Amino acid sequence: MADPRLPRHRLLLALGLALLPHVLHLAPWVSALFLAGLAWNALSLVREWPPPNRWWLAALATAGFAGVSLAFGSFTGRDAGVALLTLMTTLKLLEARDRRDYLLLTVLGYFLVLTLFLFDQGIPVTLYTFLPIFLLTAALGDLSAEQPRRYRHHLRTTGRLLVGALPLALVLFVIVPRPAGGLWGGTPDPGRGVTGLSERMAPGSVTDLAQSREPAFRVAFDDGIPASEDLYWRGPVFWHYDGRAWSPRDNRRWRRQPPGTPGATVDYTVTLEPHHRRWLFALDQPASIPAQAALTDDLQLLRDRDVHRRISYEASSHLDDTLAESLTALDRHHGLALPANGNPRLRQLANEWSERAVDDRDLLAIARRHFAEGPYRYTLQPPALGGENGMDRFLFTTREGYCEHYAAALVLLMRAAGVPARVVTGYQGGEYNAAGDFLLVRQSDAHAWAEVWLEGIGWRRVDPTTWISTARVEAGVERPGDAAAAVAAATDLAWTRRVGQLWDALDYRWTRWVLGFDFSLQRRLLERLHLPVHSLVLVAASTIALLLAFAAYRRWATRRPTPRPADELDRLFLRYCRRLERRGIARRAEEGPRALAERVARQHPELATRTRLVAELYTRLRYGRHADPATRRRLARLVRQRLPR
Amino acid sequence: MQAETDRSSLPGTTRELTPRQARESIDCLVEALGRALLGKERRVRLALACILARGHLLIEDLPGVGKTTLARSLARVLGLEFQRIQFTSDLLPADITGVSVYDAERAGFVFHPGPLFANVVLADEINRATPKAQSALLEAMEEGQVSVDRQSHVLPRPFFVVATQNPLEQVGTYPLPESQLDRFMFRIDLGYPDHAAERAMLEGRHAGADAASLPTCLAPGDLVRLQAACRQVHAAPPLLDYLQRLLDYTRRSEHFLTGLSPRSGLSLLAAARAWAMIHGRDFVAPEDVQALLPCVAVHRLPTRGELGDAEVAELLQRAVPLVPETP
Repeated sequence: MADPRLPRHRLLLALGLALLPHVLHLAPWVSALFLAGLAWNALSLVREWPPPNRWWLAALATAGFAGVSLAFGSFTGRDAGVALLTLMTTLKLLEARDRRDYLLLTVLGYFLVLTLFLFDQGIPVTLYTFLPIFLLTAALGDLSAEQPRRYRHHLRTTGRLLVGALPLALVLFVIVPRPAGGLWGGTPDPGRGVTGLSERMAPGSVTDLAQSREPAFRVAFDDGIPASEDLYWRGPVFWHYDGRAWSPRDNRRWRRQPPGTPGATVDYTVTLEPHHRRWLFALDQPASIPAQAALTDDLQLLRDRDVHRRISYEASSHLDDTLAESLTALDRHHGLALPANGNPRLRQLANEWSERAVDDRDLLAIARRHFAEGPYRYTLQPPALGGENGMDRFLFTTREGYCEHYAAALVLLMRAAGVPARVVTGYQGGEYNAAGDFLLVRQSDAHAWAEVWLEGIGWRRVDPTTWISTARVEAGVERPGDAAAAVAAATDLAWTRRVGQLWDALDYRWTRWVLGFDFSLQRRLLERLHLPVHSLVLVAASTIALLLAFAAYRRWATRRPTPRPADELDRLFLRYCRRLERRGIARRAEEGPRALAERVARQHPELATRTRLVAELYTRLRYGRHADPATRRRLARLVRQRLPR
Repeated sequence: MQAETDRSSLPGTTRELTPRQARESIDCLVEALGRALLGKERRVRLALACILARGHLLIEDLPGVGKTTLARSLARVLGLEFQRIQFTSDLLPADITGVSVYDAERAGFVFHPGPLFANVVLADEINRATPKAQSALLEAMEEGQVSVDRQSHVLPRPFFVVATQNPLEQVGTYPLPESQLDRFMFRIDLGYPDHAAERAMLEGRHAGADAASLPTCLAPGDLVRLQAACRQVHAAPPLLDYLQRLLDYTRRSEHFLTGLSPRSGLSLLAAARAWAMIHGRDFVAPEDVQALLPCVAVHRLPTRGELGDAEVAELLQRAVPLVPETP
């Protein structure tokens, strides 16, 4: 016969597996306590240690609460909540003694697994959760088996249960209406460093991203990927320069509709990684405004709240480098603004150019010649440009820089020469993933360029980085303008890269269709089924009602052949049976009160007297000639009392 | 003659025993019989229950385990008259019932009652007699009277037959057919005494072998009154439900050719009442039914295949847990 402690040990293993991924983000002391709890419980099963007394547990609980309060400053929120759940599970591990405790631990294990999704909803974690869920479910059967069975039996049952539950889960996944904020809601975790464009642009801020392979977003084009030189993903636009860093202008205004640039549009869907800012990226120039977003007058898309989780949105763009719009007085004011002083040589150069130039376009051509023919180098390790006249040092001394240096320098030169200009940041290019038919834009694709307002033409995109001759691009550095090569190279890749792409493609589909399965997708599905959109709730409710009815029917159809408790007396007896059940003594269906009492007396001598008396009173009341009210009260009292330990 | 004396005790049945009197009488009976048959308390109670339920008892066991002692002691403590009939293959019905003999003085036939005319009759080795002789006994058990020369002679009351048969001897025996077995309310075995009881007997500390030394616990007429009281033991509707579920089970079970008959059900209930009374309760509980089910049912259940009685008893024992007692 199997060791009765084995099911409990197996449950402990499942619990350990449920916690394992949490170790990555839980405070180390919480994980350590949990592991200690597991070890203690495992040992106490072998050594038959008694549970620690109540005072110890109370002290530990208080200490745990205090610890969480100190470490997180509150008991609410994701991190504190999960830490608290882990601690409470630990305490339960310490005091667990009978079957009911272990069943409760199983339920806590399920919760621990579920909370994993609060941190990560990716494929690896999702696949991983199947392991602890499987083992926990098996433990559930293992622990509640009346007769000890082989573990293999429980594993098989669990497999059948879970496989049987899958279709149900799928149906519920499809039909249950989603709240607009996503299933888990967005939870900011301020403690984590985020890669991505920042709200200010200082020399080096884009450079920092250049070596990050993190994905920024993925794009699926409806028909074909545009040419690489058109792939300017527009992000934050900067107007203000304080002599060192760039920032957006404060009073931005909103466009009711996108600019009316003529020509065909490119349609695509962007799946954006969380970057904890409001902005959305679209190809220059946005031709539509996604849901829950707005378009600023400098053509930046902003969401109504920060992006804390992966989101998908549909967008369309005109691939045009010129925005034919007139300049407002405010735009002109902001577009010409320069710090009161600093960078004198830059100003002087700009003055020389403006005297030489016939018009604004000529001025731009002069600037282009200056950068293309000058000894400017494109490097990922530009020298530091701190201090008063950083731009002067870049333009005339170091002459080494990254895209933000060139964009900033050009904008400043243009402004000094009397031409309105602004810095635009975003991403350029992307890597085509043939397996998933999408374009992957990484953080390393972050880019900065300039926009210059030309009289009679409008805002024109100018990318000074492309002016630098290829020969002077630092070896190994992929200049954003050279991204065309990356798209072409997608067909001829090393296998490692191909596997990486396959995985990325899978991940993308997961994000788009599973995590991104939101109300709009549900709506599309309903439309395809020719069902009115508002029927979603109805469909969901009726499906759930049907499932519940089916479950109820199954329960009814396979019910025990015994009648329901006929009267109060039976209810009293059954209540006592439930008390016994909580002590791990389940009454067999056919067992009469007396037989039960005799079995209890054999297995749990401490309960013998009580159970025999209950059986005796029950029999007297049930079969006796007169039901004596006093006897009934006595029975009720006995049933209410706690069982003796 | 005996019939007359017993009739005279009948008017007494109108006077009911008080519960206390009944209790004391039963305690006395159990105690006295327990002394007579060491280590056989349960068998003694069963025999007592059989009498209280107005049934007849069939003991199936080997010679020398105390069958006669039991019958004799029963008669003694109940204050009843005892007769023993040894059944042999040449036994004639008249040997049991009695004969009419011409009496010259009276110028007519006078009935000379046979050994059947007693309160407690021990029919020893009943399966060695011919069916004819067996049926004479069984008729008397059923009817409570015997007919000789077209004249009915009422048997004394109470009338209680303890029949024994030897399960091992097969040659020259006439096993009782099922229909006749049905006349016996209980069939029990006595079994060997346990170690301590046998030692006591061997050491001669056992005085009970002499039935005459036992006290008489009942006054004349008390047994009939006890029997009447026994019929008053309460059987609540839930208990009747349970009993019916049990009967249903034997009828539905694939192990038995036929289930228990309604008569068996009545016997079971009557026996359960007596069992409850012996155990000092004024109501029947499922445990009473369960305790008596094997002795009431085993000899009445024809089985599929060649199952011995022991197997049938075990099947029944296993049936009890299959029938739920409570919700």
